[in-house]
Amino acid sequence: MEAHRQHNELKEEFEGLFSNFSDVVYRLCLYKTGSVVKAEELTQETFLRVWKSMASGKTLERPKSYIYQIARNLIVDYYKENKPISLDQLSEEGFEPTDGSTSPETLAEVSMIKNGINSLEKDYREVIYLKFVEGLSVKEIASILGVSENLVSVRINRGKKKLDDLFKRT
Amino acid sequence: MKITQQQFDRAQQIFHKRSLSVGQKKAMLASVYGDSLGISSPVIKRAMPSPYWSLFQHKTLVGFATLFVFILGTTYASAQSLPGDVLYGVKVRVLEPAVSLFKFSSESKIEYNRSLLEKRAGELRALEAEGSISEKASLESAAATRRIIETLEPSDVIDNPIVEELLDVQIDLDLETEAEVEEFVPTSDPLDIPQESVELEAESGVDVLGL
Repeated sequence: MEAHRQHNELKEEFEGLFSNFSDVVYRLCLYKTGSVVKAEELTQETFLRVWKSMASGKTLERPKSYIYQIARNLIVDYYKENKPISLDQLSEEGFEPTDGSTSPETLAEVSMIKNGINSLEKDYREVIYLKFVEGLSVKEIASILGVSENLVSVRINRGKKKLDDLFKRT
Repeated sequence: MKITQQQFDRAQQIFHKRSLSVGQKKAMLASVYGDSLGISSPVIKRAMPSPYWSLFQHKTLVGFATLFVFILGTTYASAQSLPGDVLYGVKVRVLEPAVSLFKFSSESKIEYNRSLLEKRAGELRALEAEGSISEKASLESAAATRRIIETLEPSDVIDNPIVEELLDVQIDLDLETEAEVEEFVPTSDPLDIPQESVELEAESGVDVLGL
C-alpha cells in the first residue's frame, strides 16, 4: 500500500517535470537536429532516462539542468552515430536538417534563428539561444550550464550586442 | 545567408511557440512508462514521409487553388451574363437551380422563382437598351422563362405584370422573327408544275411527277 502511494507520488512528480519541460526539450532537439521526428524521439528518450533515474530512487536536486544535460548528451550521441564530425563542432554548432519529415516553414524558422545565432562566437550561442529563444532567466541558464549567474549575464549582454551589430550590418 | 533583425525576431517568436501536442505528450508518457517496464510501445514513431509526398501535396494544393479560382471566375462571369452569351446556359441551367436547392420551404422557392422572373425581364431590358435582341438571345430567354413559369402556380403567373412584360417582349420578338422568315419564303406556288415535266410526261407516258 505504502509502495503504491510512493509510486503514485513519483509519477505525479515526473509528470509535473514532463509537463513543464517537454516543450523546452523538444524545441532544443528540433533546433539542433532540424527534424521533427528526431526531436520527438530524442525528447521521449530524454524523459525515459529521467523516469528511470527517478524510479531507481535518485533525487533530482536541479531537475531542469539535469533534463537539459541529458537532452544535450543525447543530441551529441545522435550526431556521433550519424555524422563523422568532431565533438567540438557537435556541441557548439548548428546542424543541417537530415530528412524530409519537417515542414519547410519549420526549417525556415530554424534556419533563420541558426543564421543569427551561429554568427556569434561559441561562448555566446547557447546562452543567447536559451535567453532569447527559450526565454529562460539568468538563474535558470546558469543552473543548466553549470556556470555562474554573473558569467551568464556578461555573455548575454555581449552576445546581444554582437547580434545587434550583425543586424545593423545587414 | 544574411538576415535582418525583423526576420530573426519573427522566427524566434514563431519557433518559441512550437510545442508537442497534447496527444503527442500522452503517447510519449505512455511510451516512457511502457519502456521502463520493458514493454515495447513505439507509440510516437511516425512513418517518415517521402520527400515526393511534400512535392505532391504542394502540387495538389496549387491544383485545387487553380480549380477554385477558375470555378469562382466562371461563376461570377456567368452570373453577369445575358441571354446569347456563352455562359448564360451555365447561369440558368446550373447556378440558379443550384441556388434553388437551398430554398427549403415552398414559399421561399416561389419567392426565388419570382425574383428569377424579374431577372429575366431585367436581362431583356438590358439587351433592348444595348440596341437589339438576337434570335438566339430571345430563344434562350424564352426557354429560361418557360422553365421558371412551369415551377410556379397558375395564380402566380396569371395577371403577373412581369410575366406579361416578358410575354410581350417575346411575342414581339416572335412576330419580328416570323416577318423575317416570311421575307425568305419562295414566291412561286408549290403547285405550279414545271412546263418541262408536263412535256416529258406527255412524250413518254410516264408519271414523272408521281401523281
